[in-house]
Amino acid sequence: MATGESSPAVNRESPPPDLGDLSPRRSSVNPWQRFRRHRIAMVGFAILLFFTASAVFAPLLTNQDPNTINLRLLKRPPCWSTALGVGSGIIEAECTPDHWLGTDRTGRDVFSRLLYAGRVSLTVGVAAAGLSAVIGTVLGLISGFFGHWTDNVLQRFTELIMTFPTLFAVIILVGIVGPSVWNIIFVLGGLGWTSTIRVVRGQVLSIREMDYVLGARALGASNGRLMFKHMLPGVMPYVAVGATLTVAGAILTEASLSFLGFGVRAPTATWGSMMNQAQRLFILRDMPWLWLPPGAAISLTVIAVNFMGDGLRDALDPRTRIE
Amino acid sequence: MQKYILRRILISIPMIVGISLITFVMVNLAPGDPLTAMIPPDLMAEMSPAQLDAKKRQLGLDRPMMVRYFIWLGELVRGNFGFSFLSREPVLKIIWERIPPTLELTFAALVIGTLGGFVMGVVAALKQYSLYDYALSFASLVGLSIPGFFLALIALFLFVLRFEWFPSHGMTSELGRFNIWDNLYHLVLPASVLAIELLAVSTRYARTAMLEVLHSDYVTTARAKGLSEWVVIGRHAFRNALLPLITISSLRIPLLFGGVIVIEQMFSWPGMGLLTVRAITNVDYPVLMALTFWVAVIVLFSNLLADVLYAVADPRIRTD
Repeated sequence: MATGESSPAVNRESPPPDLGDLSPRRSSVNPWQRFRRHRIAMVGFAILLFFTASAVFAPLLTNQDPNTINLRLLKRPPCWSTALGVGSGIIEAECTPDHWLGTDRTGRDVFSRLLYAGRVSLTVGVAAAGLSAVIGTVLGLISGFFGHWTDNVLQRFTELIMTFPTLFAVIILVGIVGPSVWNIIFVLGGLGWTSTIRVVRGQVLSIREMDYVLGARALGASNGRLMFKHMLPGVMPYVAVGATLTVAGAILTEASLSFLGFGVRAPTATWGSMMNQAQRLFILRDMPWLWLPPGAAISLTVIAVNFMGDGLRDALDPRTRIE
Repeated sequence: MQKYILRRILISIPMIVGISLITFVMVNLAPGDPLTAMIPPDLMAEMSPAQLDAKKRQLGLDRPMMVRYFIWLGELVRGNFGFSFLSREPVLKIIWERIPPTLELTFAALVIGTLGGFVMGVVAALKQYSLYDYALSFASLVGLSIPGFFLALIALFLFVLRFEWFPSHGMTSELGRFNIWDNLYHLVLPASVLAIELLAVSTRYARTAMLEVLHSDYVTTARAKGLSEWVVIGRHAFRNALLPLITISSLRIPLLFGGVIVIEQMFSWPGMGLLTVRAITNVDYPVLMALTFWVAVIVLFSNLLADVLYAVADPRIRTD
């Protein structure tokens, strides 16, 4: 996944000794409060909320059907863009006031496609990241808890999976199982857990020897109870950070897959597949309203998710000062 | 040192076997069998089931998957990767031509991404909490978030179609006439676009690493000795901040190879990525199998190389 490996926080280094101000107002320890106060994370949260809402309420925001072909309105630019002089090339078609973002090569409304495509892209990203988080957490708990050969086998297997470039493996596997939305979620989720397993395992190794775990073990707690009742809460913050960054990676990978034409089949639109046509240079040059909006939507969403991931990490790391 | 390198090389052998097994199983789970791909449909329609069975036996397709795996592995060791369904050429020959362009592209991106990121990250660390620092942190997060193909589209739109600074596709201006300057000119745009993500990541890491080093005791000691800031940073801090970048770059290599598929497709760069897209479109399983295998092996050896480099650079690694 694109941002799968533990990338560093923007402000991870320990702050310089600042003995002048030790007021609790400044160094709150409650992660949730710290997250709420993280300005950039909140910006990310707002952007994400905006895109989620526009995908969920798509039918209320547009009365155009995303898949209806209109042969009388092919390749029409939006009126505001012709007014600005954008996209004035060999396309001489008149602009269309009914379509906010113009129409594509088969006369479909780009704006409504953008909204409905968001449903698919966001669902795939979140569901795949959720699946990876579950797989990575369970395997990481097992790997760290049991140690010895179990750990060895799982770690070697993880390294093996990591030698296959994600996009490469995803394209081939989706080609094999067929490009339905569910299959794509399973393939992305089934390959995206490699960073989570490592983080969880690392944490389990240190938690495993803590007094409260040893105490629970001495009281006769079963392995399953030790892992899922006692150790899981300790690793959850790390899983949350990892899962957030995996959402970003999954959205990017799905977009690349669809852009190359190996993703969810037509007529269902995803942000990536809407840009597929822009591989032709004349569309790239003359019809920017076809590829700029979905490109911006993907980028903004992923930026928002990464902002939130950074904020979560800063919030959970008491060494970081959040202003 | 030699012992460490030897051990690392020995570990890669089971890894390669693992890669080959995963590759084989993955492609063999695919629907449709080589028979349907090899025999034209009109001919297939005329064949009786008995004839088909005979053909299957002749090709060894009636045997269990594990047996076929070992036969395949045996051929692999001897350098036989089979024949392309599409062009009927030996797969190894097809892939062999595609490896150098991809290595050129990824290596260029690796250099741009790592060195550029290092310089920018170190400067950000030296000017911590400055406007430059904040701007760079923001820019690197944005760079991480924009999909490679969107960057490629923007680059093509601006630098090829609008300003006409760079060529839009290929490795050379004229097919078959190789000229190093012409080739580098074609390389600039795809390599830069491919490098952006790595650039963003290594900037962030270089900044963190440099800050950590700057706060360490030996740098304070160097300052206390009265050394000039230039010597403190250039001779003492700089080198240790460089170390983690080796690991970061090597961790990003699989990503680079994933990006290659998109970038090569966009810029018609005749490497393994372009071949992958063609092989998938044509359901050319022998080529796909060999491609998957080789990409994973290249990644494995790049990681091995990075580990060895790290051991050379950092004496602490060698002792354990």
